[in-house]
Amino acid sequence: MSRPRETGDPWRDSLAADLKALDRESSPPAGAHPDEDAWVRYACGELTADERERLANHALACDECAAIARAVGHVREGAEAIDAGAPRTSAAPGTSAAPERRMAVWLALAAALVIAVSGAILLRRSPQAEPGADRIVSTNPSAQTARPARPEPRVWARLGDPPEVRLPASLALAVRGTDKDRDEALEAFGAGITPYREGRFREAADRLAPLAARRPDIPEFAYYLGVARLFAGDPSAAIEPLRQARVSATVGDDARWHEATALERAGRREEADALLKSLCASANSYQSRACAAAGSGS
Amino acid sequence: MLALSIQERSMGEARSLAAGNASGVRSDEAAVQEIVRRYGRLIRHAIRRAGGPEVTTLADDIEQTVIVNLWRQMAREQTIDHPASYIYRAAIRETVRAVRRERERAEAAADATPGAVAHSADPEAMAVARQRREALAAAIAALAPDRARAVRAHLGGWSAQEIMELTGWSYQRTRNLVARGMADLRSALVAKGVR
Repeated sequence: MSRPRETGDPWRDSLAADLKALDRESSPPAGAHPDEDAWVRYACGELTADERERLANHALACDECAAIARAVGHVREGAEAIDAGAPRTSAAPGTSAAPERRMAVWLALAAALVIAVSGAILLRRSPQAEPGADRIVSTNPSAQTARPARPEPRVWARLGDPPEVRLPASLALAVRGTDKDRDEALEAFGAGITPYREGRFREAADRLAPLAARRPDIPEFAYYLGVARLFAGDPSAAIEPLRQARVSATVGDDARWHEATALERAGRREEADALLKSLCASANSYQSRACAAAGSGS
Repeated sequence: MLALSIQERSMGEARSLAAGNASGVRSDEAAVQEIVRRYGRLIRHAIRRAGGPEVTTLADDIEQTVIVNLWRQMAREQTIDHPASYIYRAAIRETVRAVRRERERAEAAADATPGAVAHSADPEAMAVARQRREALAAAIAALAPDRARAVRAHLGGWSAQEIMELTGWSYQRTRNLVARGMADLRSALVAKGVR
């Protein structure tokens, strides 16, 4: 199921194909496939360092487990948005839920099972179901009035690698004020960009936020704040700084692309589409990607 | 056919549950149901991304199966104190099962496809390819363990983000291991005459 991506580098692609052939020919990787419990613990961050290393080694040598690792990664990535709207039916930490309440939750779940399964069957058999409509829709009126779900981000908005750090060559001159102001700004930026480079995006965002607020005249600061928030899983908060960074001569195009990504991931699809069209309509380094994304609908 | 058989089995379960619990609707229900539905869609997308285009045609069945199975898992529990956490864990289990199920299906389909037998190539070309693969295996085996893992992941098409998630490495460490591992690999292969 998983396959090496073609990169346009023939040497690397041929090695990737050779490695795949080797894995096919060789005996199964050492150790049994991780079981479901192991994957659940991996997804919940509960594995010890040794267990995680064993699982990673196995997944890198096993096509099936590589596909599982990727799929689990996608679910883990998407779960944050779902959990943000999760119901709080449990007792607060440190207190015990009354048995009647827990039973009530169970009864509610059981009733919902009836509704969900029955609704699924009805819709599955209904020729009137609209193309593209959800296949399973509750027949329960309270569910139908629930807040609409944020749509899953489309493929083009998937987060790959975070952008490399690029600053205008004239940044030191652009930071106006005294030498002290300039040194403080650059030092604060360095403190924020270090965790960014190390993949600690939440920490990077926390450090960059005051700097970006203090120095709105340097759009690159806002850009890396926006990207850090986006990669930290907070696309809604990423939108505004990315919008501010559009004016940058260095990262303006990147800012618009990542703003579109943040809008999409925040469920603001129409605005994302509008921005994609604008990127597609002008010459820039994201034009072909934007046109493909705007035209694919996926 | 897969989805139909599941629905038929579920119908019986639904009837038996309905007989005992039809009055137990609470305000939590819609929210829990919504979460399950969204997880169903999420797993569907995850499987599609991990599985590639061949899974796309089965996406609706996957989502359907996932949702029904999630509800079944929940129905087996006596009490659920933390629904969000519970559903997340159940969703991970269902993801693992769905990937395995789809792989089995794909393998069975490939086996059943006429003409799926591998073509025999020119023996000399096969020997050269064999030597290349052996040189690659030896070169990777000679790398430092973490560089070997990074190279395997990189050649397997994993992004830096995916490698970070799997291994727990930082972004910078991931980039360094991939870059240095690939440089080592290139040197080793060039030394063996593989270009």
